[in-house]
Amino acid sequence: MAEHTIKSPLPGIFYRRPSPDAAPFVQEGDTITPGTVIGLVGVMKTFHQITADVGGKLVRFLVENEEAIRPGQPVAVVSDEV
Amino acid sequence: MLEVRNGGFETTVQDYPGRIGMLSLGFAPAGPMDDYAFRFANVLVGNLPGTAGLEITAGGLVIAFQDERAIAVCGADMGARLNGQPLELWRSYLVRAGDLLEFDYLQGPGFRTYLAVSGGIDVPPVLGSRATYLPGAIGGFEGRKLQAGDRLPLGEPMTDPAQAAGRRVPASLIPSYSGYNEVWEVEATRGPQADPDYMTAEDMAFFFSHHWKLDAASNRTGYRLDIHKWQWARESGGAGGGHPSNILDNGYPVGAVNVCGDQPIILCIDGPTLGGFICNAVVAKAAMWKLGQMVPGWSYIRFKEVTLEEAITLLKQQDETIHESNLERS
Amino acid sequence: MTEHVTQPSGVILARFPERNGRPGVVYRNAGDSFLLVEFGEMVFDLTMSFRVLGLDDVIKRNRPAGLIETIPALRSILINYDCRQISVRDLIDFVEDQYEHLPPFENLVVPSRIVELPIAFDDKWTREAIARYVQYQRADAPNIIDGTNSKYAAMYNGLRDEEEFFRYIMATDWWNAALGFFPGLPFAYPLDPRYAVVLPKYNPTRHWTPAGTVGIAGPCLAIYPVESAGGYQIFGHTVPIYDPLQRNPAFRESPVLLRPGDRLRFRPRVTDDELEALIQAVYDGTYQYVIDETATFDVGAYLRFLQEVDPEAKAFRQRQAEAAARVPVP
Repeated sequence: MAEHTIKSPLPGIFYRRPSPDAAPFVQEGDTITPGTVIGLVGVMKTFHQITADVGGKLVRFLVENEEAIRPGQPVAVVSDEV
Repeated sequence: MLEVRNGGFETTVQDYPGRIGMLSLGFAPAGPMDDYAFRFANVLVGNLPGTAGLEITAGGLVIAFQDERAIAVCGADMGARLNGQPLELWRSYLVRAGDLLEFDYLQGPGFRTYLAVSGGIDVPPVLGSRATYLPGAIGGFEGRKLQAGDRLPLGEPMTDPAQAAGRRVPASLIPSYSGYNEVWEVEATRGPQADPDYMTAEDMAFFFSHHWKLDAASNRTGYRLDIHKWQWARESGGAGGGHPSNILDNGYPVGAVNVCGDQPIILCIDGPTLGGFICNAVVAKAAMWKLGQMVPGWSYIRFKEVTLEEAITLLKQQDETIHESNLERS
Repeated sequence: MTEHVTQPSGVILARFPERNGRPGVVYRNAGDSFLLVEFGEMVFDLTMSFRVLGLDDVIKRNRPAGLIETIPALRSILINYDCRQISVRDLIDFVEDQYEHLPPFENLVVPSRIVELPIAFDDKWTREAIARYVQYQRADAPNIIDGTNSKYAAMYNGLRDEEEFFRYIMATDWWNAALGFFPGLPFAYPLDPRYAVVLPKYNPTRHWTPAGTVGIAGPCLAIYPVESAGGYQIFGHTVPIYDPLQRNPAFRESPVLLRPGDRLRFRPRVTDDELEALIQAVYDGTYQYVIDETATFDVGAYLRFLQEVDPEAKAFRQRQAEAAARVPVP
């Protein structure tokens, strides 16, 4: 089993949901494919999607919803074991 | 011609000092957020001060060159690579047709970096400037940030690119940027609506000592700081409105700290030009560049009070610093 | 004659009392590039605008080296200057000299266009902006009732309901004293004091307001020319007043529709759908803005009108003050 982390290219606030009352983009345990949106980074009043660069099972998030993140910070762990 | 392969997060054409003399029609000057880095980049490639370059925010820009030019990148480290080779910041290089310049994402402190190309970005001036003014959707390239496929015309270089290349800003003149969760000290004078008429002396003492957190929603328009319960010297805003932060609308200085209700907001170079909230301080023009390198959501600001005379001295010193005679051959 | 007074805080650079019927002047420090010149007291007096625009005109015509531009507002002029070319002391002396020699304004007949603008009240765009504010910024704002600001606006001014508030907006012409905040945004004041509604501002300010939104704060009405942040109570929507792409003949000369000294008149009242069609017609070039280009404004006649309606205006202000005292501010 190989694990991979998805990193945020941007600093800002990490959001797991498209809007406060919507369901999260993905849940821990979900199967994702390359390009799946796993969250948003909000900075400068704009929101940027963080997408998976690999497919597999999203094992866990490494940052909380609405937590401030740095560029290059790993936000989620993906396993190739689905 | 510059060919944009990837526009990155937010890359715009800017010139310095931007669109001056249009505040009375509601046009903020725009221009580079960090004018120190921008102006030095122009000096490095032998451009005149008013020449347009690129402001690259948070990285991601990829461009290809189609002719021989001197270039320089000054500002935050985004791991810039020329044809795959790391590019040193604050230094001029020669590029040739087919060369590829790539910016990764932020590698350390700072938030914006500037690319100057000898001859400059030759987009048509709008109302006297090539600066992109995003809120008004004018200037720069079609009034917007760059995207893949854009082709930017370049002007005629003033000097031989080979001569302009190979110079550097001496280490002593390269500013060090405060890191994540660190404090930037920003020189500011008291503003038109400070104490004693609008705020109390205690309010101003707090203002000049607190470490203000920069909100993630900050951009070229305004830098939002923490909510604070001010004492206020007045009960209400009188004819300006119910809240003591209200006044009858007046012009806003560029760089003013505008207190909107409980929240101070620094009005940046794309900011509003007129409004009805008090301005309790104004960032010294020579300190405005620091705003450009703060990271929204992470940086802290402490305003250091300076007198008008001190602010003017800082400005004159800055003009003398950003000068070709200070460059070194590398 | 020049008597430079300074405060311990350094905010007030000079203060001159009322002379020969001319309002007093206060010069406020506004950083190393700006000087704020304020006339009279912080009261809503529209006639101050005629004086300010008169002085602004002579300052522009006689501008000394280093004076970059002036930003007039209702009772103030913000001056943008280059501190490397002119000292703030010399600038103050220059403005004082111009003010000293300003001719009397009571007999002026000034060019003042009448611009008619269709308006939709409590429209879908306004409701959307308010809904977003409730969702993302502040859910318990007292100025938001049933997803609008208009019910609060009626309460705050002692009016029966939002319909009466809308009638007041349409009952008076609005004098555009200044442009600013964002490109082409009018700061317009009610010419008929019997309908001069007043409102406090948002706290905190809105992150988002759509272009075309009509709002009021203090006594001042604004139309948001571009999508932007904002602090005014919002209640209506009109046709574009700014078009950077200059798609309609009204924008042929300038991307900004309005000028200082214009009178705005809201008519007719339209539905959301009708307004949507009009906006489309602006962009396809077929909408014809209703502008009386040759109209003039007789200051003397206006001053007589103010005297005639003074009892009614006073009664309204009284009613307003009593109502406002019972209503919470944001």
